Amino acid sequence: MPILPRHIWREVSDPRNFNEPAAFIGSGPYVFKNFDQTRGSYLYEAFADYYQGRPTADRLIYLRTGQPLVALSGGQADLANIRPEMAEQLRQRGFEIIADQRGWNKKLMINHRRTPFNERRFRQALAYAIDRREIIDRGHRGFGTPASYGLLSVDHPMYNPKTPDYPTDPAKARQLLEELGYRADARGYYHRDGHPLKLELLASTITAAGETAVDRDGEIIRRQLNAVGIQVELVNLEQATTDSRVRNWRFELALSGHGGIGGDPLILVEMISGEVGAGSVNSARFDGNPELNRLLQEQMTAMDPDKRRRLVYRIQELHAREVPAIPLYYPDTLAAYQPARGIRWFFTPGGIGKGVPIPQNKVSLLP
Amino acid sequence: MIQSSPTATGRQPLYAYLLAALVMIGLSYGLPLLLPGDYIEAVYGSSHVVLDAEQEAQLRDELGDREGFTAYLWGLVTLDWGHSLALQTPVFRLVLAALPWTLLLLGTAHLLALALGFIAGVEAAWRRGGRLEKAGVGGATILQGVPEIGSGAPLLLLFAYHLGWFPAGGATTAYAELSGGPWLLDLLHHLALPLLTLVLAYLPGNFLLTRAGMVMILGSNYLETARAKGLPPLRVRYVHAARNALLPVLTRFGLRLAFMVTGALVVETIFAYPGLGTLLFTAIGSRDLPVIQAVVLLAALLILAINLGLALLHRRLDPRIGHAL
Repeated sequence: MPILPRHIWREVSDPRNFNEPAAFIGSGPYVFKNFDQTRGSYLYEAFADYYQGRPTADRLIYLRTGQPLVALSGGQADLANIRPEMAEQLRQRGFEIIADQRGWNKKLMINHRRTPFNERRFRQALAYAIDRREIIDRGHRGFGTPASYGLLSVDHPMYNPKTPDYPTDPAKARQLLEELGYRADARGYYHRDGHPLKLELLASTITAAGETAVDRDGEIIRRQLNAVGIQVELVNLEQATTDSRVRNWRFELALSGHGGIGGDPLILVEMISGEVGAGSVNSARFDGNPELNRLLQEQMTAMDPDKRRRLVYRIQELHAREVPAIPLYYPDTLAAYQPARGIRWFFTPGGIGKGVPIPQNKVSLLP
Repeated sequence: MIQSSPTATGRQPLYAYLLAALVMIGLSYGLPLLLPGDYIEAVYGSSHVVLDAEQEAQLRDELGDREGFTAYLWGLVTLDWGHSLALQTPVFRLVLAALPWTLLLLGTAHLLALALGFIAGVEAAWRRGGRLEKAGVGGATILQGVPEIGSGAPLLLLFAYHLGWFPAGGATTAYAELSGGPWLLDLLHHLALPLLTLVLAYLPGNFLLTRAGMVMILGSNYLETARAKGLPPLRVRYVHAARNALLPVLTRFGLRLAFMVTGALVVETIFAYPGLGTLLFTAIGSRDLPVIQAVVLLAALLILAINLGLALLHRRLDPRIGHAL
């Protein structure tokens, strides 16, 4: 429930166009001064009367850059999110490198409302067919960790270490497909009722850790599924287009990703339930398991931490068994900062707020 | 186009242009509407804020104040181009703020590339067969094939990252509160790398075109006469010969200039330069429809206006075109 100060808002007749400095109301150690819409830069100034003392840096400036590595080494920026492969170079130049907990996962979205994806065993076959270690090694130079099928991060205090796993096993994938009535042709490709098993996989440029990069994961997954006899047509689209198709269920498989899995287990409801997650393109919107639906609701109101943990543990097991979407991996999330400036930045465990993975905590700036 | 229809500014003059402008206005309105997804999907779909159905409907209601094509047309005339959905600011103001940066970067790049390319082309043709000319033609042919992203990235790596001579991006140092000389220096310092990238992209074409034109002209009889009259070589080269090689280069200049907005897209993105390209790029990503429509329309009308300007200019530079009517 947002609280609006009456003395400021009582005079405002056109709230949509009210973006004067007075409209920026906060209670933190910095005061908003300017947002440059053309350059995308922000200016904040230290709030001298902050109750925990005047913050150490007089001004905070946010810059837009496509080149964090160059901006850092050229002294234009003191803190930036970086790609893991930049870390070594920056360390050599005297920068401090910090790593976040694993709070963001790349995910393979599955349209479980369509045949054949509405069969749990089919979704499990996909999980067995995909080699997530290979995606990390070939697509991301090894900078990442395979994700838990329970969706919650392995670094989460409520992570269930007994969450079922699907180790890469092409033979098992084929066996599941054959149980579902698929037969391989001479080239090893599966058919059922005269129809070839041919899937469409959507991929797009994706923004992870502040960096937009072309997605190579789609190509690797296409080859992996091909190897077990599933033909895949890879379609590369711009991200907003992919998102729109996923949201409207006009897809079969799609690559996507989201954060928040290191924060409150609320994220499980948002990313699994069809009711709460309806507005998110990253939500599996899966209501096919009544027990899962019930537990998702129940853990939201469980006041006893032990009880909530038990519920969240079970949810992870059910998610892993149902595979409404396949959590693929956690990319290494790194940031670099210039220690000479005297500020020690860190990633907040569990992320900021509901799990936003950024290395800016006001504690770093307090005296 | 221009060469083949010299009558464009003659008797059937502005109708064609007006008609084209109307079509463009229609397209600028309609085409962005065909983009899959909308603002709410693009911005909230993958944000940390998950909307429920009711909140989403409410937001759609609040933002969905589109009144159709007639309102769009009327808005164009009255300069009320609507509000940016993402920035809640009049689109006109956003475009006006971004335009000078694109004009500065692209305009300077085109003028520099034109002047340098033209002079180099004339001089190369004059020294035809020499080692310098051969190296120039070879180098320009290769450079012409390199896209802006292919030259921008290495320049950035060398001059900004390894040597540290230039900043990584932006148009000026943010919130540096400079003025006068230091401000201008800061501006030029930021301009250097994106400008160099663009000049490298535009110059080779101008150079090759001028050189080819000059080589043909240098063989003509009237130049023989000019030389025979004992005119100084510099006068023969520039006043008599080069003037005739200028036409195609100017046409090319105009056509390239017309594609300013799309030309700016790549370089502005690489160097985080705050122009129309960056504005369009961000607007497409967030499906900020009013902004996309405005920039697309501006780009289209710019092409028309420059075409018209070129047609008029041609008649001045080459009287034959005017007499041909």
